[in-house]
Amino acid sequence: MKRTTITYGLAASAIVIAAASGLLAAALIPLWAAETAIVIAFPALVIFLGLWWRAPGGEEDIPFIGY
Amino acid sequence: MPDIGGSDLFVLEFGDILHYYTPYTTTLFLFALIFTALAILSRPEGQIDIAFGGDAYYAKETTVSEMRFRRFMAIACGLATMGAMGSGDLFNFTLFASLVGITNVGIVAAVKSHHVLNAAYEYGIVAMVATLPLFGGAALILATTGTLSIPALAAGGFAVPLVAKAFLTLGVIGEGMAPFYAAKAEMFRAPGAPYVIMCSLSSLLIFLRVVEIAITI
Amino acid sequence: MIEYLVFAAVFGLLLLGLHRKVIARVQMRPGPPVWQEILHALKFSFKSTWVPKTASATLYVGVVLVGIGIWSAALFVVLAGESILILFAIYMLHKVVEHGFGLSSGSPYGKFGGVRSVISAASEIPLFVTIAAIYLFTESLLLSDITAYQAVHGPFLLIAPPVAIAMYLVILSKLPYGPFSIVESKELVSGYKTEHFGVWRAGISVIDGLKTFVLLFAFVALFIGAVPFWAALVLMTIVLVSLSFVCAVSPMLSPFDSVTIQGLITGVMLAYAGYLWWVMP
Repeated sequence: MKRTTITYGLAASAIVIAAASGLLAAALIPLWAAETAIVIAFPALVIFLGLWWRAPGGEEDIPFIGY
Repeated sequence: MPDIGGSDLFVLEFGDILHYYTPYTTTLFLFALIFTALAILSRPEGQIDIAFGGDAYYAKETTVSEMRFRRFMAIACGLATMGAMGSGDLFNFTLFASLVGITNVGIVAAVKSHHVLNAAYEYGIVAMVATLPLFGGAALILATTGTLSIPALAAGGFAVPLVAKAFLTLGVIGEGMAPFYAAKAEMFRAPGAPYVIMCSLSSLLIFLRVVEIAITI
Repeated sequence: MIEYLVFAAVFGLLLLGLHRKVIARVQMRPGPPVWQEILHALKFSFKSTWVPKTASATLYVGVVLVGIGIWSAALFVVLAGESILILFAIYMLHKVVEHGFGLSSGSPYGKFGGVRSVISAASEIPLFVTIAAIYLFTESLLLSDITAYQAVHGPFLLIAPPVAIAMYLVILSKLPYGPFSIVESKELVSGYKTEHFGVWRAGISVIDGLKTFVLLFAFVALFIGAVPFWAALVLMTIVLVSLSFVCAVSPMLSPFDSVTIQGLITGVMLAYAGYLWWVMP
């Protein structure tokens, strides 16, 4: 995946989690809604975080050419 | 109703037949939904096999038409499972459970391999025989209490015979492939991962649901 | 919310590291550092990642997300004191996730790991006996009601010890180096985990951390009752260390022996639940 796609995915999942936590703290949404949002967004956050700090920006990685 | 899966979230009534969802059955329903979506969206994997005792390996060949049929069966299986998760009527539940059995046979029986077909045939016989305790259990409950509605039975006042609950559970165990027919590894080794997973998923889910029903009524 | 998840994942991984350390010390080896599993998770997340050519791509990636999702949900269920049936449904469905990991790649090693995970379904049945036995006492399956019952009548560990032993064996069969860990045994490379590398493997580490934390936390809540959070962490560590001793001195069983022993345990537990049902008023 492209770096920009991954950055957007990471930002989206982080925003969902932050929004859910914030709205819950402000008592605007019930607990189960916040939990559902976090259960959906947390796996995406984990995967995108890993892909993001590994994702090459522009330059291609050196391919493996065998021992 | 006793507190088994939490309080009701949603009840859908068709006269005296109804569907109800507790946090427990909603969780199961969502799980069936997610894996049905995965079966619709994902392409089957290209399975590699090894020849034991050497370095050789070969790729299994699968045809598009076979996979198309199995995907259809997997989706039908997902729908039947979702129906069984929310059903508040014992007869509907037994129908959905037997439909899960039929579609499970369909998923594996389309594989063009001698071993898988043999296993599927034997499993099909088990699934057919299991419909006897399955519907027998529901019939016993109807005969002793006069109703098949789970909320009505749970409200109390009925002595549901233990043997009927045991029959129902036994029937579901026989319909589902994973819990007690799982040693037939041929079926789970068949190519087409998203579809094979529906077999084990649906049988676990109907088993989880019948446990809830047996405790509730 | 999110802080609970991060804490549970990190603490669970730390417990797994401690597990390896204790096993090593019992076997008179130095063993890896306690934080090794956390380092593993970080290391894998920095590795280059792609999807194998033979894999069913959507399923291959999807099961990682589903796996993290269900154990996050399980953590919330336990913390909120909801029905333990949901927790145990998630435990059983973890089997489907393992199966998905194994089959989705098309690799023979992963496939056999997945097949083994399906044939070891016998390990799940003691769970239902546990549930049924607890229900006979409490008439409710909400975790909050169960802890309230224990506050009045004392911990279940003393009321019904065989039930606690059954749950202990269930946790044992999910640990990576136990006698029942046939799904990731070394003759299958890493079993169902074999083909998930890089970020996907880091995701599996998060799943393992959450799973260990949730199962041990549920064990403490179910059999010891409501205790302060720090005390729960201490008790979880004690339970895990005792499990490590079991893992250190027992060999890994062959698949069919493992299933046979789990089946025998199930039979004993069914007899115990029947006995309870008979003597209860």
